Amino acid sequence: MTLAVICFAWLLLVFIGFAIGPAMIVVSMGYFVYTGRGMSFAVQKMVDGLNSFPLLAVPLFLLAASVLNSAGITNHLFGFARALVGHITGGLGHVNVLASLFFSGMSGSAVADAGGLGKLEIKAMRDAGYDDDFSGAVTAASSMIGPLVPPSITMVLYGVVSNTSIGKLFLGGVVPGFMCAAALMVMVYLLSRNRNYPTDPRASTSEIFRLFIRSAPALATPLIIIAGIFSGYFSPTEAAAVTVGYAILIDLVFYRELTWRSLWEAIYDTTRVSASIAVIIAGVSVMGFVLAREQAPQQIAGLVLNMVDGPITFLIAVNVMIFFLGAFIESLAILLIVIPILIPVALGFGIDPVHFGIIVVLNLMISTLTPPMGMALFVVAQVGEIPYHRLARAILPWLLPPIVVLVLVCAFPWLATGLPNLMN
Amino acid sequence: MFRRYGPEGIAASIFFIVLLCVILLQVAGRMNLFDPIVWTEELARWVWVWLGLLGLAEVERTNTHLRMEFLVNLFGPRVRNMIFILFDLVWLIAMGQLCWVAWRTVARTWRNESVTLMVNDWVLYLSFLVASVFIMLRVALRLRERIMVGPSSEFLK
Repeated sequence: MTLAVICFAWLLLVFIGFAIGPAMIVVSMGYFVYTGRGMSFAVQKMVDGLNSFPLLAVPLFLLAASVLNSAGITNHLFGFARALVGHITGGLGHVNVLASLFFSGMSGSAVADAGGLGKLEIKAMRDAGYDDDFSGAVTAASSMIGPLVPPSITMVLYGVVSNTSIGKLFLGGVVPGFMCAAALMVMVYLLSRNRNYPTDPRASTSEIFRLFIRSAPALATPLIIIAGIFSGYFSPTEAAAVTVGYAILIDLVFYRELTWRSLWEAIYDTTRVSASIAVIIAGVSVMGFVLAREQAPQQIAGLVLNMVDGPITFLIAVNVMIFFLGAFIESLAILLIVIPILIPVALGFGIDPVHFGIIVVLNLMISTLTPPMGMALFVVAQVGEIPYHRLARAILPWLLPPIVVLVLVCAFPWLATGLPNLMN
Repeated sequence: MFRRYGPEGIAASIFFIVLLCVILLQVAGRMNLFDPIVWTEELARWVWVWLGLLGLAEVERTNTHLRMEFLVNLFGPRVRNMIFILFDLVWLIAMGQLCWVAWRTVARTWRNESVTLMVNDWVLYLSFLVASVFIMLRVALRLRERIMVGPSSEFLK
């Protein structure tokens, strides 16, 4: 009963507009006051929840994406992608997806992708005569690739809450990430066939090579991260710091667009975004303490085990639950509150934690596209100056490709676990 | 709308630069550029806690928390303002209580030695105390504007 009241109170506060992290803190304090126990540990729980070395990868990967955006590297990636696939039917739609795939190797966040590349992509598509619905929808849909291809902030957080190797998770996301990109490109092709969207003339080999050389330092970023982690030189957190250093270095040597002012702005903006994530982590830590006192994991696990009878039905139930929750609740909150409760059940069914992690991350990324609470939709609507309600309608067919990939990853675990096992 | 940078935002950003330098120092030590340093990991964690909590005060100043506003936006400005006044009051009371708990936590950890740093654990928990004071100040200022200016307050735009 108390557990139901806690969950209801938090959901109520969040739905009526109370900030997500503070809502957890307020509900937890209400519990402490009501029960008369635990208040003296509230601050310690919150600070200790933040005091984790793997968590440091989150602000640092955010900063890396912000620095790369400020350095104008997105323009080079977009130009290279345009030379590669701009001539195929659907032209700039394919370029949009491919540029997101390239950028995903540098940023670990769908929002950074949508915000960084989105403006550039939508402007180019609008100028070329693509309609806003198509341009906005493909930009939002392609931004979900970001957290699947390493580095990935969502995977770092999953790794922290589930005690799973972040390096393995990074590798596990590569194949599903590429599959999502391929599925979205098929969708672009199918939708563009009857719309007569313009295409670019095919670029010459020398032009492609020239643009590749220009983009190569940025494109090498994911290789440095993966090689660094698996060779034992860096932990994921250190890899994030090295990525920031590398982003600054390649700008100094190759691009020379970063100024002291833009670097400071990137640091300041990342600090603010990191802090808004930190308050959610602090809130989750104190609310997790409350939920543990109420034996929530055991109660929910018991409930789930009564409803499902095997790993397949469990995965179906989890996916349906995340999909519907994701339409209304911010994906970060789902990841940090709901997933830790489900992980022991998944392990109990013999599901590989890396496989489960990739399924969760993929589904959470789909949830950034599902209205009414699709974070990527908000960002694209803002940067592309497209009315939100139009974008919310236009995105619906674009949910199909990632859902197909999600079903495939659920059905064939080796799509997620093959690469990490190979590296072992 | 707001002054671009608040003092807490500047302080948190400086902590971010320190954090980056400390971790790069740790990597450099690992690569045998000099003797590995033992205290970098703990220092990085502590700096992140300070960064996150002081940054939270900046988030309050700029009113940029992650929140779901689609339901509350269905109401008119007057009702919305009333709802947010209520939220701010609840948050202010909660932070007041947490500020007191933070003070007691600092006192409780006064003598606990950190693992590798030359200071005791209270320095870590002091971050919450300092941040909670800034947060209360910012929420109180926002609350005053919401009450004095009403629905045309900058915070509702």
